Amino acid sequence: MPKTIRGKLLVVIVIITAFATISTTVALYIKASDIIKKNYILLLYNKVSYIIDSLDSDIQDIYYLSNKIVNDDSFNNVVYEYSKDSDNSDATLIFNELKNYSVNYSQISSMYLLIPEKRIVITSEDYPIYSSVDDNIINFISEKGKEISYPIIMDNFVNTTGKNITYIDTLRDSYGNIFAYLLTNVDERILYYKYLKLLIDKNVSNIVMFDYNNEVIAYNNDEITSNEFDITENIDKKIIVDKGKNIDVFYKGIFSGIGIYMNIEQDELLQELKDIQYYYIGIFFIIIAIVIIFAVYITQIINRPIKKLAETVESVRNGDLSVRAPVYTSDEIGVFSKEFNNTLDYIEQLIQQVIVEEQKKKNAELEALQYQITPHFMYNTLNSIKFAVLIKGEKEIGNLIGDFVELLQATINKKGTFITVADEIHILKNYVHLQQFRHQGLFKVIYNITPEAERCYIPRLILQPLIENSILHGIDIKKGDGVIIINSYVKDNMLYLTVEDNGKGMSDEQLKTILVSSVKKSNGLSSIGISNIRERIELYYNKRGGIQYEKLEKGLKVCIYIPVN
Amino acid sequence: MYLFKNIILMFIIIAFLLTACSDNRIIYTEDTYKIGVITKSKNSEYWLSVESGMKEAADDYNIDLTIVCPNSETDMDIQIEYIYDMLNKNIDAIAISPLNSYDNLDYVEYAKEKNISIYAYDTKIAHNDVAYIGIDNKKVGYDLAKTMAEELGHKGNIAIISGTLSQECHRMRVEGFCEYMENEPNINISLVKSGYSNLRVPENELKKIFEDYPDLNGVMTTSAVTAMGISEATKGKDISIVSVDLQEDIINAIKNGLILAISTQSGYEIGYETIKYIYENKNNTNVPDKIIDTEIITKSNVDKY
Repeated sequence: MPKTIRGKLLVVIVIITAFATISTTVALYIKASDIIKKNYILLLYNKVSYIIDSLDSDIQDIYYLSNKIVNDDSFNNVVYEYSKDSDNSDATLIFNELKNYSVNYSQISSMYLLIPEKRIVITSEDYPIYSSVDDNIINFISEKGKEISYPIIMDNFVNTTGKNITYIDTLRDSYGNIFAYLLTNVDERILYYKYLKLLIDKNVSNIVMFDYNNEVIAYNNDEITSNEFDITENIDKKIIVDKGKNIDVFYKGIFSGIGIYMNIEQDELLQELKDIQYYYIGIFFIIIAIVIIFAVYITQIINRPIKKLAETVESVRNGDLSVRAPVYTSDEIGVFSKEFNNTLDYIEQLIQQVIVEEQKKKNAELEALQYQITPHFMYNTLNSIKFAVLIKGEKEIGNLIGDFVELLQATINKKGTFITVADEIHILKNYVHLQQFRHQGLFKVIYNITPEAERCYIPRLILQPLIENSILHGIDIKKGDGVIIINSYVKDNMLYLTVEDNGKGMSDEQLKTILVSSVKKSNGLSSIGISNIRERIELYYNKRGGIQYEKLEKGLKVCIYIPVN
Repeated sequence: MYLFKNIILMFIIIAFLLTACSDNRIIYTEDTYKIGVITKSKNSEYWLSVESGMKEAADDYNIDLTIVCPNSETDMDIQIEYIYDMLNKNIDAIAISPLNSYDNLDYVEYAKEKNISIYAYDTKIAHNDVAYIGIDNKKVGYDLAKTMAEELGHKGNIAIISGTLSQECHRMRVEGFCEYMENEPNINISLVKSGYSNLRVPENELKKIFEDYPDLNGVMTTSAVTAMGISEATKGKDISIVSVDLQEDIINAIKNGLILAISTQSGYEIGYETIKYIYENKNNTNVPDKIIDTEIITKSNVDKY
């Protein structure tokens, strides 16, 4: 069984058509061959009955004629006289009568008048008188003449060749005694040519004509001798028996008792039927061929929506969510395709939602990260304090407060995520001022920023936590020799920001944890930690940007590198 | 593949079954019931219609039929010969319309010897063992007499010119006719002349009759052929004629008022019913008679025919 729906459809169509065609043609063939056979048999039967019935009728004519002759008084007298007297003139009279009748009835070959007392036969033939008739013959005739009213088969004892079918009639005197027999003869050859031969065609293998007593009169096949053929109970009937390859025909005339048996080979008929068979087989193959062509075409059309759907599914499997299955029909496949498309739409929607949500989450986090610093109130209050201080004449403190306010401004007001390096350094300087104030200037900060770098945009508060780290955990404030060097330059389209200090550095363990620790600081400017810096760099720059720590001989160096923006 | 094989196997079985269904050995057969028929003659429309009816019945019931006809109804001895010849053949039943119902009935015994069922049709054979198929001839004569009496106003002279009285049918018709007329005191049967079965009375004989009996008002004949001859001879004279047998010429004669009435005897019907009845009773003995209905046709109902 094929794997595709189209293949299956094709196979099923062909099977169903084959089945329907075969059963129809078989049924039709059987019916047709039945009808043909029946017609053939009917025609055959009609032909046989026509010919044999006309033979029967001809024999009946002979019967009437014979009857008329033997009841004709004048003829009777002449014969009677002759039987007593043998006058030649009488013989001539008799002969003329017989010849007359013989000539006028085509089925009569000859008439014999047998006078048993004289053992003489007067015939209707050219040499009319035949004497010294054998006693056997006379006995035979007188025997049969009494019993039978059928014509019987007799050897032609006058001509000694051939056989006759003879109707024997009697001439009686006034006392009822028989003095002569009238034999009306039909030569077997006449029966053969006038009746039997008409039935013979190329299909007839055997044909036999027999008399009332089932003795053979004539036949077509020399190989058959008298009683060789199979006499069955059918011989007295009018019947046709179909024996498959052969047909047996029996037909007996009721008046004459003369019947025929015919054996017909059905070759020609069977050949005709075979031709029909071949015809039907031919038709079968033609139909199947046409059906296959149509089926291939039609299944293709039907299959198209399925195929397109399968292709769409394959594409989706390979990752392409933008494809949609074309909808051609409104059947189940059409519905499925439509819904599949809807499902893909929905999935895309969901993905979009997830993206958006992720984005929102990130934004929210970012915003949350950004706005950990206290708001405006603080800023305004400090400004007030600054002015108060300045009025009091404390310029340095006033400046410090101003720096602090600027720092706050920078961290609060700038909504933008990105600021220039210059701005970041400015914030940084403010922070450093404040820290130097707190720690009484016990450390130094050096700024090496290239003009190129100054113009680059970086995420805000990316450097400040680093410096804060150096100050709080790196350099030894008490000692007073701490130096922090901040470098920034552009190289190969990458912006580098480094912070070096000569503090006590970090242990390896500390280095490991610092980049990932999400513990919020509580003693820095903000709770933005190193890990936060790292996260942000990752967020904005993926793998293109990064932060690295380097242990120095004395101190620590941290380097941030991001693509130039 | 398994499914395939199953399906193909199914095909083969179905095809085989279908072909096996039509196994007919014997195709065409005629029933072998053989009937031999002897008629009275072959010369009249009546006998031709009898033959036709018989052949039709033989077709319908698949009977092997052979019919032998004497030349005319005067050939009594020849008919006997024919009967014996027929009985010597291989037949199952014989149907005879006898020219002599009363004499020479030895053939009935002969038929019994030969185990051949013997029936009489159209005319009875006066033998207890022979069933009869035909009309009730006595009743026919009776009804015809009634019609004639009414027409003549219950008085007048009537001549009866009948068929051979050796034939039971003619005898019975005359008997029936006379029986009715016994109730009519004013109707006189002047003469009964027989011997004209399906024959016309020769002209000179007719002439003599009308000379001898000038006051004839009606003639009864027992066969239509005779009646037609007489109706031609009595044209112009006011003589009512009644007869038997359904023939086309006599129907026209009734329509034209030349003949008063006939009793139907449909040769076709008798022929058909005879063969049918014989076939239906092929296994029975002591078969009863089958009487076929007749009708008196006068000018009033002649249009039915």
